[in-house]
Amino acid sequence: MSNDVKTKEKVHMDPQYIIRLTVTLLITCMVVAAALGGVNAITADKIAATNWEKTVEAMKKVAPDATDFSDALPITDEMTAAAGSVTLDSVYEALANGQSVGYALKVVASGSQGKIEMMVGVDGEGTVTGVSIVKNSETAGIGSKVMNNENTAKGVGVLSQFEGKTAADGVLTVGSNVDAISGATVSTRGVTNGVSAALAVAGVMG
Amino acid sequence: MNIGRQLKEGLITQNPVLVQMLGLCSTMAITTSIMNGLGMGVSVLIILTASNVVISAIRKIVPDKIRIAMFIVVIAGFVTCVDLLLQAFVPAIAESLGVFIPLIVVNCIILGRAESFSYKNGVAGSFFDGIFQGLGYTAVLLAMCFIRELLGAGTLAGVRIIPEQFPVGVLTLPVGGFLVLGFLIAAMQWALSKSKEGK
Amino acid sequence: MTDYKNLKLIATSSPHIRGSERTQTIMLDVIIAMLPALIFACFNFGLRALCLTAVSVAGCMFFEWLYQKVMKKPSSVMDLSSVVTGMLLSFVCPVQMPYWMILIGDAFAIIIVKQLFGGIGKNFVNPALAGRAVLLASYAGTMTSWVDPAVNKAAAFGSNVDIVTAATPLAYMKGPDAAAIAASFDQLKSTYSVSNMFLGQIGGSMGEVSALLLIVGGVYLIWRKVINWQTPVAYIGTVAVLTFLFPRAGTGVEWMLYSLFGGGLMLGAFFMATDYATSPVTKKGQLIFGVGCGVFTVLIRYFGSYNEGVCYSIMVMNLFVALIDKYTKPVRFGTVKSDKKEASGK
Repeated sequence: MSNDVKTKEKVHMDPQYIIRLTVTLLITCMVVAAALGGVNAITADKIAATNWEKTVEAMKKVAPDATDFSDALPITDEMTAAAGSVTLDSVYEALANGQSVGYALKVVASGSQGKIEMMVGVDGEGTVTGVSIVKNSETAGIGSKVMNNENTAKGVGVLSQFEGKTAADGVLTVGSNVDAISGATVSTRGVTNGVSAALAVAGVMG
Repeated sequence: MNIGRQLKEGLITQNPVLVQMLGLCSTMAITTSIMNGLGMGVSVLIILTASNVVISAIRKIVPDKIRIAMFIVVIAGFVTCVDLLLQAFVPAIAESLGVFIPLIVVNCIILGRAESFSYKNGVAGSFFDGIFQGLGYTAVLLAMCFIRELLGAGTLAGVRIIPEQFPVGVLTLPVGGFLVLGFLIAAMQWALSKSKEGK
Repeated sequence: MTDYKNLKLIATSSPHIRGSERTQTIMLDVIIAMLPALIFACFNFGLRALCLTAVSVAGCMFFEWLYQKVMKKPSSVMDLSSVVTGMLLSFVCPVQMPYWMILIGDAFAIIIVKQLFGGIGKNFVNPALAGRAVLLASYAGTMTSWVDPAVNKAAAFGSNVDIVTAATPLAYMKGPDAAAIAASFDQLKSTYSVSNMFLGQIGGSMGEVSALLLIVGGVYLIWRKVINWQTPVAYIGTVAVLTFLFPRAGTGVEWMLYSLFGGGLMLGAFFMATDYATSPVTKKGQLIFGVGCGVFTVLIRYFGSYNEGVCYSIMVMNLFVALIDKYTKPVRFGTVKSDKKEASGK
């Protein structure tokens, strides 16, 4: 049995055969790569435009004063450190008539069922101007209440309550200065962590 | 090759999902709405047909030893094309299908058909095989989407049929996918054995 | 002269002497054992408890009858097993849930979990628990809000949307860190005394609140030899030991008592984990099964995202039953264990 395989291997290992294999594979890859390059050339601009539109839409929600947004700003180590356990995805400068009016920060925090991707708007004075959820997988019927900005027991939308919070409010904590939706404390805490991180990052950026 | 027999095999007796049990992962993952199912089904159908035709055309010049590598290169090429086109022209579907479009590369249906059919058969036969197997896959996806979207979310293609508080949400969760697929497979096997008895 | 041609020789397997026990009498005993808890539920939550149970029982019987009618199978409605499933399902649901919701749970439990796998004795997880799991996943909001029995009762008819709800004791026993758990556990102790917990004057699923009456029912079942003591004792014992050794707040004894009497532990241990079709056959197996249930319950309560772990832990252990049975199979008289045989053969 093992002898059989060995002789077979020997036959196939002759240099001409190996070259044939290599060349065939190489040509196929080149043809496919060329085709992909062609498709990419057609679609690249369109995909970039669609993605930017979506991002702008999310940013407009959290920075109502802004009329335009800068390209993504470079993320420094200092900013990543300020975000702590929350992942800082990207930061954009919010502009109104060419003047900076604050930042829109995309952060990813942990919820009860998975990651919560959200956009947080912070104005020039370090005040939260809005919070909106980009993507989440929270439990339908419980955590989803937080994602849909339903009212807490105090009658304020659970996401809306962050508007106006500043770093001066101290550490944002569910139960003390943040109200949770009954039964959805973990999801609320996830969003709270995200907002705190965004505030911290904006503080570092000055 | 008999086209009628190929059609019957693709849709029923050799249905890729319910009989060959291929591509189960994507079947369970994306069948939460009719639009998803349609998008995924059509994508797979196009990729399967295209890769079947190409692989059948080049089958004589592909050395046996590296055929799997060649298949994957061809399939990956088509998948990436479809992925880019979807993202550019139907971003809504591209977003809701997410990672499952790129994952078509490793969908067993496509590699399975390349290995077991188009590598051994002519271009025309492979073309129809791609279409019919793709249709079989799409049909199962749509059946699952129909059940899961209607009973799990209370909507059909986004239109609300059942008032919001009633639908059995568990069907839209992964566990619902397992349940529905399991019962569809069971029903298919039952029907197949019934029709065999009848003969 | 005997008509040999038409003589029917009926060969049945042993035992040929039959006891008077039938599925029906066993199920009747289970129903009787659940009655005290049901009566208490009516006293605690209002008459809706009775109505919900009646609807659930009727639903289960109807779906069983319907499936067997449609599939042209002999009817087993009168063996009362569907009545037990219906009662158990209503016992593990919040009392103010809408009636249509429990009917969906009934349909899932009877048709999908029980009948599609072959009917009574062939289901591999407990139908009532599977029904609850489906309802919990589908209607998480309704299934996790509990009427506060000290403040108001649930209306038997109509909507209960505005009813005052309370957190279950188990919800107080969960928190993000040790300090938060300690604070909410103190709150729990001031809200409910241990005797409140034992008698069942607390929020929770309809039939799970009164530990006392569930124990009474369980003891009745053991006395009638319907169930063995192994499963419930191993289950409750494991939870008691683990919570006593690893309290998350307060003293070990306090934490243990609140863990035992809050939530569905008593109901699960006596009525759910002892289901014949989904628990091991041998007594040794039942001990292992009970310990497994206990360990999973504590793990889910401590580390899971749900407050209560009884339902899922029993369902998980249900899946291990075939394995437990395989390894606890008694050795036939006169033979040696297979691994010993192999060893001696060498």
